[in-house]
Amino acid sequence: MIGIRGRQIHSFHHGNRQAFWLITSLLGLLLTMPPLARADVPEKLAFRVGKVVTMDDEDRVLNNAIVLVCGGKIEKIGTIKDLPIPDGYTLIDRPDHWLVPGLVEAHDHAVGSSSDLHDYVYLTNPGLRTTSALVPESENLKRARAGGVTTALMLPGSGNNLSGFGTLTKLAGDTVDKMLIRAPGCVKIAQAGNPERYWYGVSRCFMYYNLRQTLQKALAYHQKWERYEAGETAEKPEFDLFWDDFRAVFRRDIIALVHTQWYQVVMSSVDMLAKKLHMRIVLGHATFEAYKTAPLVIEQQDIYTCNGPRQIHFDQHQRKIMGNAARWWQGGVRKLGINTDAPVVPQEELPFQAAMACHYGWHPYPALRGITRIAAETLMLEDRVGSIVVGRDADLGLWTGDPIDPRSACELTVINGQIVYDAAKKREF
Amino acid sequence: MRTAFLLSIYITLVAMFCAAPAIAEQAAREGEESFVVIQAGRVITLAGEEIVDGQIVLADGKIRLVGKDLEYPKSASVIEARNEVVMPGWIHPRTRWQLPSYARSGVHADRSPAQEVFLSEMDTEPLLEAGFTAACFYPDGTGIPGPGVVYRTAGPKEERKLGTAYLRVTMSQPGRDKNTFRSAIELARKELEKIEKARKEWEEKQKKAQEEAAKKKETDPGDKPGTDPKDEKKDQPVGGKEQEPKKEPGDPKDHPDTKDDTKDKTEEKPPETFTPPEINPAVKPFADWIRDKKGIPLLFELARASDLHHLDDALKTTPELPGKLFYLDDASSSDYHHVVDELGKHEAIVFIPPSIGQLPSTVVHYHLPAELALAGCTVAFVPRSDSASELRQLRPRLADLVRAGLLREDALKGVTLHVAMALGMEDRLGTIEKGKDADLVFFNGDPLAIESRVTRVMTAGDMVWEAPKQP
Amino acid sequence: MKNQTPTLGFTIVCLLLIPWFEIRAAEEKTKPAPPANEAKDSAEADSGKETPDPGKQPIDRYFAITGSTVHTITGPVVDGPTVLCKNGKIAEIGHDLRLPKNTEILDAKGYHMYPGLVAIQSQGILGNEPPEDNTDLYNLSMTLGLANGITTAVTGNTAAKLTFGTVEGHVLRQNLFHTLQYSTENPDGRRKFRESLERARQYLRDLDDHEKKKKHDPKSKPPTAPKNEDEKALKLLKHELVALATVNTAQALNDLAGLAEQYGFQLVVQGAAEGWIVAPQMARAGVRACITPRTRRDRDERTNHPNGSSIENARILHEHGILFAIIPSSTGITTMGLAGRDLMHLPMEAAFAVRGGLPDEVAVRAITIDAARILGIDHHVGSIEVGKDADFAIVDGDLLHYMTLVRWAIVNGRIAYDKQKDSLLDHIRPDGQRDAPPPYDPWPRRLGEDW
Repeated sequence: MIGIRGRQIHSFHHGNRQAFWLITSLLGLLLTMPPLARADVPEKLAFRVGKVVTMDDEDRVLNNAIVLVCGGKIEKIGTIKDLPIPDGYTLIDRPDHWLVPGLVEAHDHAVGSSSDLHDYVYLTNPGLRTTSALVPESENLKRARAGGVTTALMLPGSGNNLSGFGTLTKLAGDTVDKMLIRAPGCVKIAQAGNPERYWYGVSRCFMYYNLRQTLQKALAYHQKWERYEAGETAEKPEFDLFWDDFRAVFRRDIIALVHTQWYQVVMSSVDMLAKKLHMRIVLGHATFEAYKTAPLVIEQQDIYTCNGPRQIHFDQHQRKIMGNAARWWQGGVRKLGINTDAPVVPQEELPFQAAMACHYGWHPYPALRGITRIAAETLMLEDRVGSIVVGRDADLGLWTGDPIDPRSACELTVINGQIVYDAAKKREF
Repeated sequence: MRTAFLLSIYITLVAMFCAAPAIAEQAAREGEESFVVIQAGRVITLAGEEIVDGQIVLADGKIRLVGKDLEYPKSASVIEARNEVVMPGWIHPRTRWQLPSYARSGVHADRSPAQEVFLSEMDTEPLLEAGFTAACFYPDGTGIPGPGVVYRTAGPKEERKLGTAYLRVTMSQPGRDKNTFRSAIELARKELEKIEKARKEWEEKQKKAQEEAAKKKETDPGDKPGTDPKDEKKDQPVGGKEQEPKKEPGDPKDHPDTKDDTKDKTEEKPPETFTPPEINPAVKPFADWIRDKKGIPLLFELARASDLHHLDDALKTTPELPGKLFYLDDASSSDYHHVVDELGKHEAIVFIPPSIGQLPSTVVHYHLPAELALAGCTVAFVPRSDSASELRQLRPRLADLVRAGLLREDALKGVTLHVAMALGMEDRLGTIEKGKDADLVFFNGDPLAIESRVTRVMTAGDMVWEAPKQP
Repeated sequence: MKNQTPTLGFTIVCLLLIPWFEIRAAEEKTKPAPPANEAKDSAEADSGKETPDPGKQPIDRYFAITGSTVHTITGPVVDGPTVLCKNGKIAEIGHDLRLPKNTEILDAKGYHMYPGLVAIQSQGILGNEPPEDNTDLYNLSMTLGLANGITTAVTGNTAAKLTFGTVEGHVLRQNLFHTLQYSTENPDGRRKFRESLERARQYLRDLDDHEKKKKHDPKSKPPTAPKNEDEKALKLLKHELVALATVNTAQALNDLAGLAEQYGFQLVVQGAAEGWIVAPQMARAGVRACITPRTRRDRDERTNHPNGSSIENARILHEHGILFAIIPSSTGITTMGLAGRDLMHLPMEAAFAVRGGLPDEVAVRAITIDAARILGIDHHVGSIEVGKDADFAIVDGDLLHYMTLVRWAIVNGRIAYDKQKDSLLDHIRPDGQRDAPPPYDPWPRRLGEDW
């Protein structure tokens, strides 16, 4: 009931906002009279900035550069000398600022409110989707934008072994549909850790068994349909909402985000999910002494590691403080990103997590790449977000300096070519 | 220091070897004493080289001679131990073996655990089986719960109590213990002030009496000589004998010349000798240290390295107190490596459990006993707990320590001589030397070998325990 | 002792089947450096002379740091001077100083020297009150605090130093504050506090009257001195105590600032999340603050006046001339892994104030001299000046930069932490190498080359 009421209040609230925008845009209509000057139509923007960190395949960093944005996409990139700014573009002239891709969060629980979303129904809950619980324009999303975050994977909690399917969203849009990139965006698996607190007596052997049998059933369902679709059998299988989302997982169209920490647990993730079930897994958290599994992880070509929110591990064998990311990196893992596990760490502090990873031994450029390009690759969204490349989504952050440095502030956030946060109006973070 | 000590013992021993047969005969001729001779396969004297096929000559519960090929009277009874190894009896430095818990806090230097020890009810078999001939029982609790008392583990009742050892002072929770410690010192100082005040009062009275006497003298010239208090005062240095409160007033030995006067004139005149008020026994050891710079040693019990600094801080105001004897609690997991050198500088005698710990938050093994020994400390070993199995485990654990780098000599002395030194009984116990008590333990092999066991135990020359025969 | 030398090699024993030299290497690194490691030899000689002869003057302990860029905080940034310390105090700062014999010299060329940082609140780094009796002087949290550059912290109501391995010079100042339980949700408490203040003020007036009367009427009775809370209120009015209150809302800040202004007592507010709204009122009353720039209080949309936290809080308070200190949201030190919000990362919290527009220098002041000033210990710590305590954080870069690590922490002229001699962080950018090899890892053995 509360949830429903909450939604009602929100929709009422957004009704107001929409009314405000309507009046504004009507005024705009009267004044400028462009044919389609509605607020959600992407603007034409031209950024003239001191530095553009593109995060493209060549790792280009352009100084004194211009980025043109049109139709919600990146239109052109060039230096001030080479690229003239055409007419009709709103010029954002910040010669001492950095323009970086909108940050990508691969592990976010701030789906509806500031509390983690946990449906403690069974130890495995196939069929649940966070899409149905998303709250657009929540305070958390606004704060996240103020921190330069533009894309997030909204996950169900990790209180049970399989807590449902996450949603890939942009952090802008007043309806779920407008936010949506891909739903379901991943299946969320939690191996050990939190699920051990589910009920008295639940521990690893049982959890692995339980998870395995759930996934085997899902696989059986998928294979039945595969056979039917390949014409191997004429008998049409019965559609089952409970299992159907898993077909994308086994087709490797979406990832399996695995909440996994500690050496043994990561080992079992790699073995059970990646090797035996051929899922495209992402090691979420990957903390404590999990970095010791680096040789195993490298062996599998397509495992992405998304480290966080714990950035350090106190090694009780050597009395050392290990930077988790640094140790993964030293172990040879290059598909390495950083996450916040918001709201465990506030979403807007995503770059600060990268700063902490650097403080404890990682390097700034890979760290920034880890919260943009690599995070996008992790989510299989590299064709749309995570880099400033012509044709890709115009998700950008304009920063006063190195985005990882907590002293730098995000001045402007752009999602799909639209300014969604402007610190000049009110600085949120 | 220790090297010199060992050297001197060595020299004596060599001298003894040369003169031994003659002395033995002479000794036999002189007395009607009954001699006992132990024919040992090996004697670990801990006061020099080990003696293979040696003899230990005992009389009156004391060791008379140790050596090889000694001649002894035919009347002497011989203990056949050619298949055995004999070493000094082991001493447990800190135990509450079979004592009920009786924890107290605060300052109780006078509360000896002797009141808790009922020897007739105590089963000391496991102690004997582990080779202990003596054990120091400590008072339970925190703060300054009292002194330790040393008993033999077997033997006739009247011979069992060996004496009082150390005064226990806990410093394992400095926030609590520093206060207790300071209050004890403060109390002791107050007691001393009280004595000082009483002395002044006495002196004033004496003065008055003198004046009166002088007046009298004027009127009555026939006064006795020799009672002039001035003379007496000259002879008595401050802090001299007469301050001892236990001494009876006017002890004739002390003041033979004033004997008559005191008896005659006590009622009219102030006492000729100063009788100090009795010191509160709860803090007496502290008062002794502050005034005389000697007394019963203090055993400081620490729980972590930091406590040593807190102890030094607490001792700063009272440099007279000794900071030499330590018990390191929780030695295998704590961070004593920080203060090993410091303890070495203190030339400390350290009680620790026989274990190799790890440096905190690491898997790096740290041989605290060996490090302490290297730093110059005297290490004594305390079994990890007061259970029979831990007592049995002591020898294998010591063997482990030796395997890992502790000197064999330090391991063996750590349960004998070093303990005796810590308890202030090194002139009676701890080694097999002339004049020491015949508290011996017999093994059927090397004491540190895993397969050997204690076969017999002797206290004060009597065989008090024998291992049950094995098939 | 001689006969023990052969076993020296075996004293570090490894029961694992690891080559012993590896363990020895690990042990040498793991064993934290004793304080003033480099000075050990000379110090030993000194102390040897010091103790036996009490008649002699104790030998002065000299310590000099050369070559570093010195951020004096209260003065300019000086490049490469020598800072000479004598017996734990700064004796001289300058180029081409003549150093006395036996000076322990620390070459810090290429490093930046700041005064030791001041944590205005802390937990677990020092012992409970009284810290001089309770502090574990080899506590891991203390080492980690030093590894963050903190040399002074507050425990309970006492400011003390992180004197690693010694009680000497531990406590700086006791009875720092009188804590007020002030809340807008407790009207009764507010009334009582106001009444106490009023009675205390009345007492002062009566006392004044009495002094006047006494001149011509010797029989005049002095007023009865206030007791309990009133007595404390009196001490507040006489500036014998400083009030400390944890308040965050604009309303409470405004109320309390009003009281402080009306009655003229010194007030320090902790939290002050909505201070940016009432900064003028706070400034007028001379209120000092202890803030956490990253504090997040979401705006309450139901009210139409400004509310909620702001990242610009620090800047706005500074622009109004309000003195403040910065403290992270967690005032302990945790090794559980969530990095960046505890006392292991104090400068990072200050960096977030810069994000809101505060100048870098002021952010550094907020964790050094300004914090010291609020605690009333600024004559000892908080800046690098002759006569002050020799407490320094010597770091390998800009203090507020996220890659900066503390190389040495100096407390009372002694090296209390040396990064390369302590196992904790020695593997992270040793000597500035960003691509240093990973540290040796003894576990798990099976993931070696033959995996």
